Amino acid sequence: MANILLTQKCVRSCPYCFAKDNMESAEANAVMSWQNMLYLADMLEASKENHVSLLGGEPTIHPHFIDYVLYLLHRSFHVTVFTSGVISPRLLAEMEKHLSKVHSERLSFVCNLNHPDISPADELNKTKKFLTAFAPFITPGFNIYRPDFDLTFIFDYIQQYGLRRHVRLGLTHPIQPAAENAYLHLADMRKMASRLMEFSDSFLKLQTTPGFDCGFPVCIFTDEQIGVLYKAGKGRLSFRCGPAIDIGPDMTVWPCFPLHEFEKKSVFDFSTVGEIGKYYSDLMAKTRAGGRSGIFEECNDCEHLQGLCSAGCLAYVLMNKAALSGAQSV
Amino acid sequence: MTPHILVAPYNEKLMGQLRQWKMVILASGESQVGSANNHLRQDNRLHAVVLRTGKALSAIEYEEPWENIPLFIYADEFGSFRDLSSKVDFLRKMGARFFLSGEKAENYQWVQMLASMGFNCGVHLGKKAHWEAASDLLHYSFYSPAKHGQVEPFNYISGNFSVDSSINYAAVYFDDPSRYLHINENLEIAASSQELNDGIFLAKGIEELKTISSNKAYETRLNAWRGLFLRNSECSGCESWRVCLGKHEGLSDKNGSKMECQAFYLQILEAIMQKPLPVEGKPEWRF
Repeated sequence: MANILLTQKCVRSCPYCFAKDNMESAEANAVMSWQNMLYLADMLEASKENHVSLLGGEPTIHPHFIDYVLYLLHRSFHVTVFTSGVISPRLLAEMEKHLSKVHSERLSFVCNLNHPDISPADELNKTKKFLTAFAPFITPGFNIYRPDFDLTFIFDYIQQYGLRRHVRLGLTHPIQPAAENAYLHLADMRKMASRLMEFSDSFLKLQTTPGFDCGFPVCIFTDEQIGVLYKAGKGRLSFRCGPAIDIGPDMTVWPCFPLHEFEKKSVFDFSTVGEIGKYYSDLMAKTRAGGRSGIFEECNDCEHLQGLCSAGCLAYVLMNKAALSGAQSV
Repeated sequence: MTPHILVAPYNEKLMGQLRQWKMVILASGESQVGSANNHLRQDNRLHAVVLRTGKALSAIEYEEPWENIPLFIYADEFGSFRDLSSKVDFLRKMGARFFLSGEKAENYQWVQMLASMGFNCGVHLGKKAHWEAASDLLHYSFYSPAKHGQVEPFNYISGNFSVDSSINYAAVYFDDPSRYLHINENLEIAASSQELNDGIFLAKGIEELKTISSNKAYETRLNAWRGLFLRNSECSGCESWRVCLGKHEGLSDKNGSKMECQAFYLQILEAIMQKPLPVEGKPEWRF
């Protein structure tokens, strides 16, 4: 699967934003062209991919957003749109007109929700209208960037709007190389895990599955906690870190947002998405080899390394290596 | 009787006069499509219906009975993808072929988009072609690894070109006089739609139509490409003349686009010398 960035602009400015650096370094008005979209759709098809994700910035502000979704659906792809849900009334009406009749198994929205306390009223209002209009299509997403987070409002939204009973949980990582975004520090990982477990009853009671995005290390949870999460997640738990494959409007490709400066290439250097995935998987494995391979010192000797767990996000590993080399040069 | 297929406007009297021939009917409105089909299909005389309404492709109102008609839809512009999107399922059932004018650069991309959705389609490469966009489209047609509909004229050229002869790809626009003749209500006969409009006639009347193969003017017109060499045209020195037959002669001198058209046609030659990729489509219909 690949992520196609339709825009490099966003309508919000979240403190943890993992796309911020990439957006700042990109041309502000860069948008995915029809020509590039046609090329990518062919490449995905030739790669036997049947799923595509549309990202930004905020993908819905692309002038052809609805057209691209419709086109990809006509090409028989399952489309997932990652959005803030902050959508203008006019666009929302257009989306309802053209997308609401699509089968919800073919089109999904992952709505990245911020806590209402840090959301401006206008944004919150728009997001709620989006949740109302597209509830059966929407999986709520939440990015954890501090250990004292609160998921209560997500459970409220699931019940209130009838959203899909799954929560995509993202762990915010330090964006390389500067790490200027707000992210969860290593020292807070276990605290974060304990906090997450405080919501396990809500997950079970509301029959809502937690879904880990990349980079959660397994060792921050106790065996008992993993048992509870296993049950709540209906047997699906992931502790992996691998290339997500993000493709920009200018057809550059990189493994994921935290590693957006990590060996950027052109899509045209590859024939298939599989080739891109292999290239970055190999590169990431090579980068981890030698020295500390995971986010914790004990990762190297861990029995779960490269089995159950990838030893956390590579961005932390790179940050650690950079710190070490800095210390050595001093 | 000649083996030609006659291209004529929708006219019931004319269709009645030309009972011996297969016909391509030029429909000027949606309502004429079904009528032409009703008139000619039962005698097995309908070769194709060409609909040209002046509307954008996405704005054409499609009707249910068009499902089994060999229909060619010509439009100057594509229109709105959103509008077309709601009709895609029906259009897939119709099996129509969509042609867009080559005079607008964006049309080449729309043709690619239509092909990528499995539609057989084409671009009308007239006097004002956009060579770079056309080149992108030919690359897509010949080399894309993804399944796609047939893209004309590239599909026709790759399927019919022979190394020891030339090819007139205008057949995909029903403008190849060796196979198609154009006729109007006055029974005036021409080699192409443009020549019919310009009053350049080869013959007139049913009797002359029946003997057109032995008509001097017709024979001269068929071999018009020889003029490239007799007048020592720039095109006569071009390696790719066997594909273009000098269709862009003269134009090159005015705007300096000769090198572009030459490069474009050479790319076609290069592509067809390699094994073309199989494409989706209904193989039973032939130009």
